[in-house]
Amino acid sequence: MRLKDKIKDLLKQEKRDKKLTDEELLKKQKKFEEEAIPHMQFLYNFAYRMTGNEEDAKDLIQETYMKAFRFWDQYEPGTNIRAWLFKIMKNSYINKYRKAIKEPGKVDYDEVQNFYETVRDESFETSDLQEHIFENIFEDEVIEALSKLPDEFRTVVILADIEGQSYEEIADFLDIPIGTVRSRLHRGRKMLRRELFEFAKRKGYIKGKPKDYDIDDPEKD
Amino acid sequence: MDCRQTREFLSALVDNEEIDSQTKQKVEEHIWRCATCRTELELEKKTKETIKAKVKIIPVPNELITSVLNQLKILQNGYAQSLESPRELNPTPKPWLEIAFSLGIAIVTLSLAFLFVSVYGKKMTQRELIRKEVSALVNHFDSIAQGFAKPEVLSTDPAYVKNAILSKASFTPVFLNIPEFEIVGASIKDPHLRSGNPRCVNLIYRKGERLILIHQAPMSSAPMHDEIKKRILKGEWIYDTITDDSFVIWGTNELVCCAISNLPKEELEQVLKQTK
Repeated sequence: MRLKDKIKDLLKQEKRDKKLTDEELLKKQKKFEEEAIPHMQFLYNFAYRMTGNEEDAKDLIQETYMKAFRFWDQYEPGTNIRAWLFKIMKNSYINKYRKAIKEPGKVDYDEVQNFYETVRDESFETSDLQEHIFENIFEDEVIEALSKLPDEFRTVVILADIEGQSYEEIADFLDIPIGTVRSRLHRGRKMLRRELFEFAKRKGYIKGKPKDYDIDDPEKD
Repeated sequence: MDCRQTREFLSALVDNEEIDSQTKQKVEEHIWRCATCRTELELEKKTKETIKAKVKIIPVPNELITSVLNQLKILQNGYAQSLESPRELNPTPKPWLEIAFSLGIAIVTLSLAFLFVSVYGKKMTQRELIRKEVSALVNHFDSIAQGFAKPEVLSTDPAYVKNAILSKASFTPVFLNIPEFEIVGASIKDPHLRSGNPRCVNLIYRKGERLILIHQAPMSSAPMHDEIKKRILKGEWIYDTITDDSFVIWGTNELVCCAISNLPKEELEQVLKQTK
């Protein structure tokens, strides 16, 4: 075969390969869009509640989807895509906001310890007077209270109470045991209640300091 | 089970999440006996309800979905390398209308021109003939220059434009190197659009506000008066102007070319001379 013909053949081959690749790429894009876009509502709401504003939430979503598309080959079809996308977004969030976050998958014994201490410390919450906390509470106040929670507690409260995810899903999203989901959620809700209590006090529904409402020692048993 | 142990399961009770039956029984027993934990459970329920009721799910803004899809496309094209460039022709966005609009006008003008030519052709001077034949192209050029029509291919990367054209055109066009001008776009739609006519190639060169559109078509199929064809085949470059635009027709045995520009005729002549 003459060199000229060889080159011609090679070019033809290349053109064919290229076309195939383009088609495959297009297929890949379609597949990604089909699978990933439906989860945007869930991710956007989480991003919105974590960042507290629309612009940051949008940025986070865009970054998440671009990253996810780049690493689409690493996604195993049939596994939980929502958890996969969530983890990408969580990493983006951490990188962006540089919040100290604990290693995923590690049971944090300090936290378990804190949990029991919180139960002791926040015994004020067992007062019937706290009924007033929920009177005339406004949306912004709940949102502000939420924003005051440390990230790991805010995360579980958003996922469980706003986005309605099950403990199993949350455990999967965060790579933590279900027991940790339970305790974080309990503690997160308590912290939020304490903030709402402060609002109620400021608005005059409740007078006095939280400890004035101590009734029982939770460890009496 | 004491209060401390019970508290760890309150959230699960609130959320109706599964707890193993033995533990659940113990927790429930404790709550039944302990008023504090009972209140605590009620308060946690209320907290959850309050959050759920007050903090609503927000719909995703439409523009976010659009921008994500657009970015994916850009990323996709980045992978495909030569598929499409994300960069646009004009840094200042112009109101591009559908190319069909301008093409439609071009076709109407052209068919009128041809009707004219067929009836009065013999009486017209060659100059008028040429001007009639070029007028559709000039219209096409004007709509591109004024931003009413968008060429199919738009890119600031000349190599990309060349590849796109080579893969689509039915013949091999010539890519002139015009000093200081850059290829910014191209189309293969034919403003002549005569039946059975193979597609032509329009290359758009740009230098600031100055544009040159180079139209090329196979000589065999170019709609052209025989006398003009003869002049071109002799190697003549026929320059002229229509309103504010200048143009030139020339050709080879294979190709007929027509350049249209918003440069003055003399400047167009000068610029093109440098390419020879």
